Amino acid sequence: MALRPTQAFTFFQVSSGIQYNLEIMARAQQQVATGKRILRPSDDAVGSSISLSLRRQAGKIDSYLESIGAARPTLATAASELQQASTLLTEARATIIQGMNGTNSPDDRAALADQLDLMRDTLLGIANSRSGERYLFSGTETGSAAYVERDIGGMTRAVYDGNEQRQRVVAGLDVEVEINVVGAEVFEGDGYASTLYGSLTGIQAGTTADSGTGYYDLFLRHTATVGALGEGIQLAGGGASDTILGDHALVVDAAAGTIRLGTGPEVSIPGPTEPGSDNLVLKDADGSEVHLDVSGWTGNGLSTVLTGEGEISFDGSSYQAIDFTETDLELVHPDTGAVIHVDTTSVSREGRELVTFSGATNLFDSLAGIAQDLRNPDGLEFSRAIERIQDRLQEFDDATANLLSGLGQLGSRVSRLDNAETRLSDVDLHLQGLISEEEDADITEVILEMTRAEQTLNVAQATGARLIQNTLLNYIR
Amino acid sequence: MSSVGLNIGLKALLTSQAALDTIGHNVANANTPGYSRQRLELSSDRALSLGGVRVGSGVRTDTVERTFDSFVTRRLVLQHSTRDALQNRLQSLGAVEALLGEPDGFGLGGLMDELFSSMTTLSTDTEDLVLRTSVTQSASNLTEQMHQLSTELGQLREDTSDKIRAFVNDVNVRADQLVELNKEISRIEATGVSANDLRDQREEALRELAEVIEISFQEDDGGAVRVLVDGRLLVGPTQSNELSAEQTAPGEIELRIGGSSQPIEVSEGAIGGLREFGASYIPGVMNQFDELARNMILEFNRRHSTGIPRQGGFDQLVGSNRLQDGDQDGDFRDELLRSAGLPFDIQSGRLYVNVRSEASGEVDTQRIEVDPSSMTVGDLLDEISSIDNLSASVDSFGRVQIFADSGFSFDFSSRLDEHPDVAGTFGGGRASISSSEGEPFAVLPGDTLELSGLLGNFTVTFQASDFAQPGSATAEELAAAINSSPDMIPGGMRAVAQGGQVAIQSQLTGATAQVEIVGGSALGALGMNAGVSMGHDAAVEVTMSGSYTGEANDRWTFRPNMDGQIGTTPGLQIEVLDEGGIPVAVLDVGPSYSPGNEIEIGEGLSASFSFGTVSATDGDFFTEEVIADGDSSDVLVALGLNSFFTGTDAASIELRADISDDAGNLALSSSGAAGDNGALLELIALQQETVSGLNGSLTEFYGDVVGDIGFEVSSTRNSLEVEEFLVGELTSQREQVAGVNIDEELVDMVRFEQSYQAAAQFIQTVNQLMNELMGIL
Repeated sequence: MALRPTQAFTFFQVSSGIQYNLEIMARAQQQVATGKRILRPSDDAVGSSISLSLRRQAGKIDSYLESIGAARPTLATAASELQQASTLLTEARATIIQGMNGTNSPDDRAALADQLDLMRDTLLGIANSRSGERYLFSGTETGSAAYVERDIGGMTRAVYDGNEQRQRVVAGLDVEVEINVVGAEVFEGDGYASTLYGSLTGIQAGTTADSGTGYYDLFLRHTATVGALGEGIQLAGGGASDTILGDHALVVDAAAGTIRLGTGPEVSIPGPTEPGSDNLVLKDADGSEVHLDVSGWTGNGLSTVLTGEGEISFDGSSYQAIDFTETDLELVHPDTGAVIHVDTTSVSREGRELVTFSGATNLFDSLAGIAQDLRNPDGLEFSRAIERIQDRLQEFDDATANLLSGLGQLGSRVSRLDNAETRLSDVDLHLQGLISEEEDADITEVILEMTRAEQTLNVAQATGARLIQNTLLNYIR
Repeated sequence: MSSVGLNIGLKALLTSQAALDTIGHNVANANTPGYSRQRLELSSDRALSLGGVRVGSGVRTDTVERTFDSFVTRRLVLQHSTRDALQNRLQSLGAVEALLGEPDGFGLGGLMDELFSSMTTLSTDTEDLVLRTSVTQSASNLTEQMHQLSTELGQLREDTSDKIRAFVNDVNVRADQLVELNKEISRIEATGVSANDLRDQREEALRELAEVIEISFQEDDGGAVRVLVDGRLLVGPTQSNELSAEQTAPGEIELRIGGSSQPIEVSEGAIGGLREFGASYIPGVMNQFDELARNMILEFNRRHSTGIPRQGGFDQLVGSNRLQDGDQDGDFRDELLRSAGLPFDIQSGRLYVNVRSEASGEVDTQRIEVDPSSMTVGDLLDEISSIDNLSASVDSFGRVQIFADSGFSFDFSSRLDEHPDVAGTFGGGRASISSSEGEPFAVLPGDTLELSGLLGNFTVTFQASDFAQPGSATAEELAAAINSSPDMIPGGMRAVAQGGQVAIQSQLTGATAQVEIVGGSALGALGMNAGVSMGHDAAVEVTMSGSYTGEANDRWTFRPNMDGQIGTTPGLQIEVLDEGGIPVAVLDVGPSYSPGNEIEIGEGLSASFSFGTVSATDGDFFTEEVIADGDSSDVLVALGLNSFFTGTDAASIELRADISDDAGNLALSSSGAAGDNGALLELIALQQETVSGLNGSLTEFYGDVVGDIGFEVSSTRNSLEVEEFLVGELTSQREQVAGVNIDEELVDMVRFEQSYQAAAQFIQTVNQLMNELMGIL
């Protein structure tokens, strides 16, 4: 059929052509105004699906970045606290070395001990430091202090009260970073290795394993001295002031007029009227003593064995008699459950023996113990005290090494977070790029399209105007 | 001759006038919708015989004809139906799309991101109330958006129904109009005249009716048109049947014609489009959001219900979901868990209940086997109540409530029992002889156990009443039966059940404590050896640490391989067996082990043993519940205990009220430690976890929903464009045939004007001839 345009059709064509082009222009204008290509999901269903999924990914990355940002101060605070602690420990070590100098007077040592106590308190303060409301070093028990002080067997001890759980934060897909170090790992040794005895009394480790942490005092005391004396020599005061335990040889050299206990020095026997003859103190090489009344000495030689009977106690309150043939005596601390097995066959004197569960002591107890040793309340020979301090110093150094490794861990985690952040930021940038590619309008293209529509519109308007003006009426009068 | 001539002239004048009138009518209606161009049909009049010559007698007007193409017209009417269905659908879809607020990030997707983001930030400091509050705020924003979506979709469905009702009125008005037109056309055409303009009007009315509702139509012999909707008569020659709409459910409208009982179905026209939208599309979208909300509730609650709040375990909990009394007997307890009317399904699985003593800090972990198809609500409550210091009941609303005794708290977490050997069956201070196998025990009524106590030997004889199932006794039953012997307690002994095993112990501790099993017929079934066991001064202290990383819940049993001392006896090992008796690990605790140090077992857990003596002969053991999921049965979710969200769908989802009141109630710890964020990390992991009910993660599912809506809108828009084009094409075709071209009319006008002038001239000529003739006379 031949085309038969009608007026109505022409008008419809013209107006719908103009409409169409105006629509394109309005849309282009909207895109330019908002900068977005997709304003509703239906503008590009595939594109908006992709951009939604990209946005979800970007959302995840944002939350990782936020959590990294929030985790960093915690790590930084912990690191700075440990930094302080490490400085303090260097200072403490210098003080300890100074204290071990034999030329110090007891007053000097007491002053150094006071300093150490102060440092210990400061260190405890650091261990119980908080970031905001949270304790930094008590594992996930962040609501309570990491170390609490307990009175155990008459000594104030710091006991770890947190747990060994790590607090983790999410720093990426399947990436979790620990943001805490546990007090029990940075302020303490690596774990129990063996039991050390202070070699004061001659007590030794038994054959069976022990268990416990920290330091203990093992109490050995003399109860009676027995042995066949004669030649007018008697125990002074019934042996009440003696400190020997186990067998000690007693030899009187009649020719030289001397008397000797075990491997101790020869002592001249004073005359009956000389002062002190009724209470002559003999010392063995280990420092154990017997008190003898030699005022009635017959002048004859004598070779006998004195045996010190005694008792042993782990807690300082309940004592049991020492059997000097026992090689594996089990002692249980009633308060803490610590168990030791001791060999008493070589015990030769009474005293407070330092028992160290090596590897399982903390810095606070080490410092407190060293301060105690410096004050030397038991009046140990100072060389003994220094031996004890040296033992403790070893423990102290081990624990210090752990603190430094904890500091290192914190540092490496901060750098892990930094790496994660850098990587995530890169990914975020990339994602934002992809989202923009998907959603954002390409302004050049839009403007081109707009110009094209504008031109078409102009042409449509021009031809439409011409078309609708043309009618026969113009020519019929 | 003159009369003939004048007559011919007159007819020519009148015909030209009629033709000009028709042209005028056409020009006047050039823009009338549905108007068909009219044409005057002319023919030459019958010839007269004038003296043997046949002379034509002029022009004759036959009829005024309408130019139209009935095929095009019919297609155009029907095409309007399809187009308007799409147009209305697109409009409504656009409204749904606008509700989403995507992809600008102001929609649900952005709010979900925000919730996960605030939780991730909280994970760095779970105690911080400000961060906690930001999580509850985000969760509330999310639920509010869900409500809003649900409400607005409901509103949209309501609006759709309203629109349909308005369109139904429209249909009835047009049907009446058509009946009137039918009547007039029949009346006019009975006289043999074609009712052109009325027919145009009727076609226009049909088109308008088709825009509203899908119709089929047929013209009968009398010129009346019959309009059918889904095979039922809407418009007849003389009367119409009324279309009525009735709302049967929200969004569902039933249409009936003339009070018929059978509802009709239409899929085209505005009503067809809207009906599909309101009855099927909107419910589909609402369903998807409900599905999303439901799965969010389920998954969040699964992870949250086994968490522990900031201030520690619960002293009481009340469920947020109500049980239903299915058999209407006024008692909730007799309902099976499976059919107790709970909104979420309960699986066969385990529920772990931890009861913590606030004074000692000791935690007692008990497990409950849940089988929804055999366990009743009452069974479950009894199991919970049988745990020391707990009681459970149902309130009058059908909500389960659990209370702890004063000084105790409880939770359902996967926390580790750090001190598993409370009874001291593993080298404890008490003398102790344990069974070497776990339950069930094949102890039969009449079996005996001969023991030697402080007051001499005595025999325990088991009774049928001691057991629920004789021959398959539980450890608890055996311990209770043995302890009920009158000689047991005075004899300085006791029996304990621990982790499905039973032990006979001295009441005293220390090296002097002693128990002796003399014999008895039950020994074999109990897996115990006759003999003497001594207590110890140094009790083995077992400490567990770490957090379990295994996939499945399990119970590990620890047994020594021989008699010996921890850290001392060469070859001493502790075997760790899982519930199936399969070895998990062998721990070397011989001379190379320093007592008190941690030994790694595996699956994230470590154990340490202090010094002491253990005995394989005495059956020394302890068990540790290793928990991956504190509630693998979802019973907590179903009952709404310690939930995160309450509700069941998009309209009812809410953050639990006491959480939104106090963000401290967010249960984020999995061990009870304040800084633990185990449960929170599981919640965060939900962001990328595949949710089984949704075939994807929560956010992926949401993305799909939005994508589907976008696709729907754009594909509807495309279909509409195609339909618009078709309508345009048909309109153009119709215009070509029936449209008025003014120029064409002007040409005709000039033609008939000239023919009028010619006819006038002719009359004048005839008149002149007459005058000439008259002048002769």
